[in-house]
Amino acid sequence: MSKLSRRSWLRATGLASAAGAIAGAARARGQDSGLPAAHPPHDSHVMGVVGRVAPDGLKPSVYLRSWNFSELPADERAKFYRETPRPDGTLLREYEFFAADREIEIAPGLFFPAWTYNGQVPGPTIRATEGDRVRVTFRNLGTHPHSIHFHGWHPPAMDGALPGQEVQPRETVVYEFDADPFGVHLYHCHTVPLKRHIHKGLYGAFIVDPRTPRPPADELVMVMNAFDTNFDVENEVYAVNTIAHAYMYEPIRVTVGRLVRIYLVNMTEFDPVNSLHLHGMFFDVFRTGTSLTPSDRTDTLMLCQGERAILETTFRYPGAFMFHAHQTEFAELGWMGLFRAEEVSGT
Amino acid sequence: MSLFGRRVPVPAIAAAALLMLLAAMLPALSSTPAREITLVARGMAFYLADDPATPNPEIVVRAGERIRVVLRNDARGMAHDFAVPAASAVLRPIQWSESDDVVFDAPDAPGAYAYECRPHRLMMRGTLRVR
Repeated sequence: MSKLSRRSWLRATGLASAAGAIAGAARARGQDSGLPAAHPPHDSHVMGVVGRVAPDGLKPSVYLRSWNFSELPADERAKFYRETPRPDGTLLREYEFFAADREIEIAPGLFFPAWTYNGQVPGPTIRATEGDRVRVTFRNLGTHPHSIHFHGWHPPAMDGALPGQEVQPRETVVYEFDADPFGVHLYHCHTVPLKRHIHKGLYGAFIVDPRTPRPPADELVMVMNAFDTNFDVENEVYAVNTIAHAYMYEPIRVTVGRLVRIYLVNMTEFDPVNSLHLHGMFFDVFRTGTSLTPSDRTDTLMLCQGERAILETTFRYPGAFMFHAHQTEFAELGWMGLFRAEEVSGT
Repeated sequence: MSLFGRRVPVPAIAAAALLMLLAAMLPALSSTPAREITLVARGMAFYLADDPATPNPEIVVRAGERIRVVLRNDARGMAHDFAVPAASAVLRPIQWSESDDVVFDAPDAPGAYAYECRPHRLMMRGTLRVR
């Protein structure tokens, strides 16, 4: 995006960066000789947003720990998700998905004309165990042709991306395949123009658990996404789980000493890469989640578009831990949050 | 009492006034009063305003009955409309927190007819039962 529009957007929404101010202050303290006594004053020395989004949209703190519509009350959930045991011990998992146009609030007072799965961005998280049968009934209630393309093993008929597989408005299709391989995957609309259909909000996380479950952990779903609010093919707002800076004001509460597992998916369009950096800690990386052995231990992970990974770590100290894209530009435009680690008595 | 210089009995004036009043009311009296049904759109379904538990409820009306459907949209960020194709009834798309109404006559033939939100009819669709 152009410098001019980004600056004006920053002013318009009350986002402001403290990075320059902090650097200036450090210089003033550390090198007294020959430098101006003080950095010129700034109007705003805080990073973040003014106000909060309305509470009736996506709740980032709920989305984090929800899959298979677990956030809904039982009777409501049954409309969208059913599981049936099969003779071989696996499950048939049936999902009701729909595409619908919806205006969503991505920062306080900033609305984005999204295309959504089930009215939310990211779409609902699908979670199955390797070998389960996944059946997704997809109704296109939107105003454009759409589809769902799942990453994972499936025959071409279930791809959702091939010519003739787009679903016209008011049409219904069923996608059915076995959950394979285990790992953290994604689904998204594969209708052209692809970058537009994805960036408008048609994507979500698809988690496949290994048959022998991973160790118990506090599990979190994080989808890195961004929004082109003025349709110039560049993003103005960045986030993890859609709402800019949401976890700065509602930190993710975790427990000291308890394993934390993050299912991280990069659904950012227009920018080739995104990243996650965690302050004061390191984490194990399971790329695509397809191995039970970590491939890396780091504090900063870069992911290309559509790339994903499982991160595992355990908080050693109580307190606040920042996490954000290490493309600091993205961080200042919304992709930044906090963990708040607490010690639990008796553990 | 005099009118245009002529004496007119008061009862005659009262009678004339009553006739004029009745004439003014005639159009209102001759049109059938519409039965009002309030629907709420939320969570990709219609609900009756007094029954938030039943999605896309069956609406029972009499043959030829004049109906006023008031639609309230409680779905933030989404636009919903209301239509009964068999009665050629169409209400414009309503934005979140808005409401509007449409008046139509139920079909004369008893039977089951569809009502729907046109863009979301795969999910927001119910039966208008004409008795």
